[in-house]
Amino acid sequence: MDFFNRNRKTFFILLIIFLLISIILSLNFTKPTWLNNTVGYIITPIQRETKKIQDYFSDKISGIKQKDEIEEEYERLREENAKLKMDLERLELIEKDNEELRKQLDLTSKYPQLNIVGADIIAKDNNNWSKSFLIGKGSQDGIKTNMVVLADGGLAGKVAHVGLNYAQVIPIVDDSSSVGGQIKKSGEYGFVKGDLKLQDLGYCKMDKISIDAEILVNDEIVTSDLGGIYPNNISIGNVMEVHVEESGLYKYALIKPIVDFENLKTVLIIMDDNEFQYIEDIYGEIENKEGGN
Amino acid sequence: MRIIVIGFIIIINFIFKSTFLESIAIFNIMPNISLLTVVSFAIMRNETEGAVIGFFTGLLEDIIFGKVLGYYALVYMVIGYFCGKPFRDFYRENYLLPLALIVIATLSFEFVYYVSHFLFRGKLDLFYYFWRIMLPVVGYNAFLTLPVYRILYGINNLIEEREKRKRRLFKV
Repeated sequence: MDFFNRNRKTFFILLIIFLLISIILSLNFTKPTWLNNTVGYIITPIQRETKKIQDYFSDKISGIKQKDEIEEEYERLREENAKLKMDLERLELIEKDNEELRKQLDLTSKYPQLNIVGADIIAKDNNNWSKSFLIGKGSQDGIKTNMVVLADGGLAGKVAHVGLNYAQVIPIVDDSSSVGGQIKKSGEYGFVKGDLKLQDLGYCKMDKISIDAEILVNDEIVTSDLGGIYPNNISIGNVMEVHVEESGLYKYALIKPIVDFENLKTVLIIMDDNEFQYIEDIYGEIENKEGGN
Repeated sequence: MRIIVIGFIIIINFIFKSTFLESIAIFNIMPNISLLTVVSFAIMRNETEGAVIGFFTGLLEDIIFGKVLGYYALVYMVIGYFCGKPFRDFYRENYLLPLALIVIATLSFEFVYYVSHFLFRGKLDLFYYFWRIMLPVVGYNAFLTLPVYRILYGINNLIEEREKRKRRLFKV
């Protein structure tokens, strides 16, 4: 301890330099480090239990008298409803695709099976600038970074950071999140970004919409078919307001997301990207046929 | 003994912060309990302990929530050190000093976070961020500083009494 006390200044300067180097080196970390795994493994179950306690008390405090069985039933039905809504949307899209492709090729369609897993939210981010949260499943359940997270039948966010038994999800209303979006009716593209200034309303901002695009209030916005992270045609939200940007070159719109982020308790995670497998197969078949001719 | 108790406090802090604090948020603003404990310990003890407690508090937050490793550790450590160094031998029953220091520390913490995460991405609306986020956090932190400081002061006194009994008066 004496040695430590005498050379305190050098020790601290070395520690500061070490931390700066650590920040710079860890900017590119993608896989979970052993530090995340050990600490997260111990801390997150405690977080999960305290979150359960908090949920219990907040439900009691909210003053709604409900019997426990009815509430359980309600949660189960909500989850089932969310999954079914998603399945229904996918089936409608597949039907449309199927008809078009049947006309072009003589192909028996493969229905992409989406593998969906549910998870609880165990903790929310603890500073006032970021809205990310932790879910209770991690790399030991097969979650990887950049997996898409859904809730209530719409897009909730994507997985940013994975540990052994937890994962950090960045929702679409977080300031650093940006999703490629498309207006469902007209097909125009834009970027749906979260904005901290809209946190009171809970809206997202859709940027860089072409100035002569047709966009009206209550149009539905879905994920676009460009880009490799988000599967296309997942609904994001509905348009609330449309404005022209100050530069006069683009329009922007305020989007109300389908997901209710205030009361979110469970989310669904899409486990694999069979969607892209399906599209690649179709294109493969078309190329083969044309090459053969 | 001291290490065990303070380690326990740091872990309880973190878990409390990420689960319960959200339900006592006003206008979506949560207080920063880690900052309260770091500054309280930095004032009550010396700057070394403030810096070490800040380092481990920040490290825990970094590992679970941070995007890079070491950001929160660095910020909390520097805050702990600079809160402890000039006020090392001050009268500890004084409740005005923690209040003033918490205000300054919270302002600098939030401002550094704004600069590193928002300013560099081109969000220049400091006016909005200041009035909507930084000042309310300062207010909420200042409101909680008295109870938290009192509780930690009581815990510190208990530990110090234990340590006094173990210390030998004359080195043999």
